[in-house]
Amino acid sequence: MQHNLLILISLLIILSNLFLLGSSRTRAMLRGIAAQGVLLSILPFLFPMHKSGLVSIIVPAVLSITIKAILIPYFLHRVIQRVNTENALNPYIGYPVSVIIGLLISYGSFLFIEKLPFSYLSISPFTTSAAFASILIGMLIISTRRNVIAQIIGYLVFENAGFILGISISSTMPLFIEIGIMLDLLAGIFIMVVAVSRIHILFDSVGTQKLERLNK
Amino acid sequence: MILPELIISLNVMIFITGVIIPLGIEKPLNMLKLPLISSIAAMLLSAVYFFCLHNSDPVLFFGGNFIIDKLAFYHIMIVNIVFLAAGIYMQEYFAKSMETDEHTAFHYRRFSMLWQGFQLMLIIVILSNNIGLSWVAMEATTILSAFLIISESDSLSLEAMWKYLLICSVGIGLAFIGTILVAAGGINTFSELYIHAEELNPKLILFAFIFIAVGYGTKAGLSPMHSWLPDAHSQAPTPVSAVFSGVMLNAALFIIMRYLPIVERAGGGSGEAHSILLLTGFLSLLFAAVFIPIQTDLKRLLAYCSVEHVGIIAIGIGLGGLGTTAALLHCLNHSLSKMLAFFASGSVIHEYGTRDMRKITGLMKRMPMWGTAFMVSMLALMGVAPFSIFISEFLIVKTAFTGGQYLLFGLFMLGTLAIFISMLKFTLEIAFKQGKPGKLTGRVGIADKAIIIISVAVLLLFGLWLPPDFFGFLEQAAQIIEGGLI
Repeated sequence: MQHNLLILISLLIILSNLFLLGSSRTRAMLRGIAAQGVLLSILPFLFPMHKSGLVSIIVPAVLSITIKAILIPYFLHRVIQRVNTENALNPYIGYPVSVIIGLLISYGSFLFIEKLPFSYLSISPFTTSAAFASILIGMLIISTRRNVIAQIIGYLVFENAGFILGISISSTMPLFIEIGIMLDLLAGIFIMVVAVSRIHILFDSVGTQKLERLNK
Repeated sequence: MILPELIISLNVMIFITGVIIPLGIEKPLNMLKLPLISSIAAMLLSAVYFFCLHNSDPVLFFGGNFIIDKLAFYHIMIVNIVFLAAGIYMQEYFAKSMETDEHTAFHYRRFSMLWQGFQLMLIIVILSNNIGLSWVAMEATTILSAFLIISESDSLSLEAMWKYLLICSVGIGLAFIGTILVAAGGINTFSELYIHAEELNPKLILFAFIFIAVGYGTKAGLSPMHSWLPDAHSQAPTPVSAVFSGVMLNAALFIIMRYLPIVERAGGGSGEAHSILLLTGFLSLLFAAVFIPIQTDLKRLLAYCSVEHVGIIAIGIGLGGLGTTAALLHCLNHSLSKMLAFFASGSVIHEYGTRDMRKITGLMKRMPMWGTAFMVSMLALMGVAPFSIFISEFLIVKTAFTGGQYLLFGLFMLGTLAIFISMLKFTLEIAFKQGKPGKLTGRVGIADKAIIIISVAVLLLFGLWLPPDFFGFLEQAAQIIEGGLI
């Protein structure tokens, strides 16, 4: 039962990644990343053997649902509303091609996960391979979307990968550090969102084309 | 022993007070005094750190999550020295820029608060013994320092800040994955990891170390992940550039130094982790050698110079043995001379009103005091003989040569020589090329004079005569990187 649930959640995470790669609007991406936040908050309950006591299961789950599924999407929603005029992503790679690359990455990481030296640590190769695919897909979104909000969402996908990996292979960190990690993420996104509104005020755009003057 | 717990709590409290007080102050100049006051206090406290460490084994405290040993103490000193000097320099710098800029009190309040938070997080990075805490504090330094860059709020600094925020966050994210993989065995402190290193899976630890080296290497400005560095260093206000270059890069390298003995011991001393550092170190040297000759912006030149020196430190550690000691010495030398170079160039840029090196000429005649500081720091950064960077670079070269690694020796000489030639050309043109006649007013305050004289004196002193006690201290600190914590 638990094993099937793990497979289901891993598949849903991969699907949400593909959805993010295929969406052409920041609003759609926002829904995708919020859904991923909800999925992540279920994960701590599926790995009870890594945890000592109920508190260490509930705290990460509660933190993850408040921060990843409510607060961060709320910040992003506010900033998307403010920069309402511009929603397009102007990707370097088209959406269908992005989705195909994403599929290949997900399939490839599932094939190669056994070869990596940490596969023995996890009870479920599905979650670890989903996490590894998320790392690459997050970087893909950051590097191919010329829109700062899409880049933030790419960074979130990338961060979520760390969370999945952390839940599925180890959780020996003291609780105060787990809280610290989540607060860092929240503060980081907050700073990024403030920076985006600054960029919007100064350039009247959230595309990165105007952020390419410092070179050499 | 309760002492270290007490000191670090005091240290944290000083900075928290320092962060809160600006909320109740109205005058911008008074807000900027707080970073100075809290770094003086931190400096005094670090003297006490020395007494609780004096000739003893590493001291663990707060349940083993913090550690003070010689390596940590040395880096704490570098942090405090650079922040203190930058705190002094900041007063004149912002007093001058307030005449021209119309920043609000909000702007200076934010600067003062973020600055002190940044320093506190760097201190926690260095004192942390828990790999998770190191990560949390390192990520916090990125978040806190991002808005320090855009203090001169124009479009270029905003672009630099965005790149810094995004690239470093992704880098630190990679380090997070490495951290998780290392902690997978159930141990999460550096000292325990070292003790049990032989029971760890060597392949897993090496795999994790690649993530860690790439991740923290991004923050340290090691190639090929250095692309944020020239932008952030050149666009930030000068005191911020000085602490970025002099402290933040060292702190990120410091975490890599902490992991190094664990990885080597887990791998049975196979030297793979050292090779990774050598590789990125030489890549940094190469990038710097290619990009330094084509620079036109003075602060950008200094930024690429930082890439070079971080590379040299990585090479020193990668070579091991005497090279590690030399690399540690190089950390201090580079921080001091780069700090001085940034201070001088900040004042020069303010007086000349341009950052274009082709337009800055005749500096020695027009601004004798800052001109001398600029000359000395640039010569030191090039590795010219009587200054201390020469000693540390010489020791690294010597390690490569006596170790029979002639290829590395040749590459190192080639890289530093190429950089030397182009930097010498820039420096001579700025200092002596016939420029407009007449002195610039450039007043140099008494505190700035003290910074210049003390840093030049230290650079010269360590170049001519390295106190044996100090070198012995560095050797013991290097022993921690070479042979572990215990």
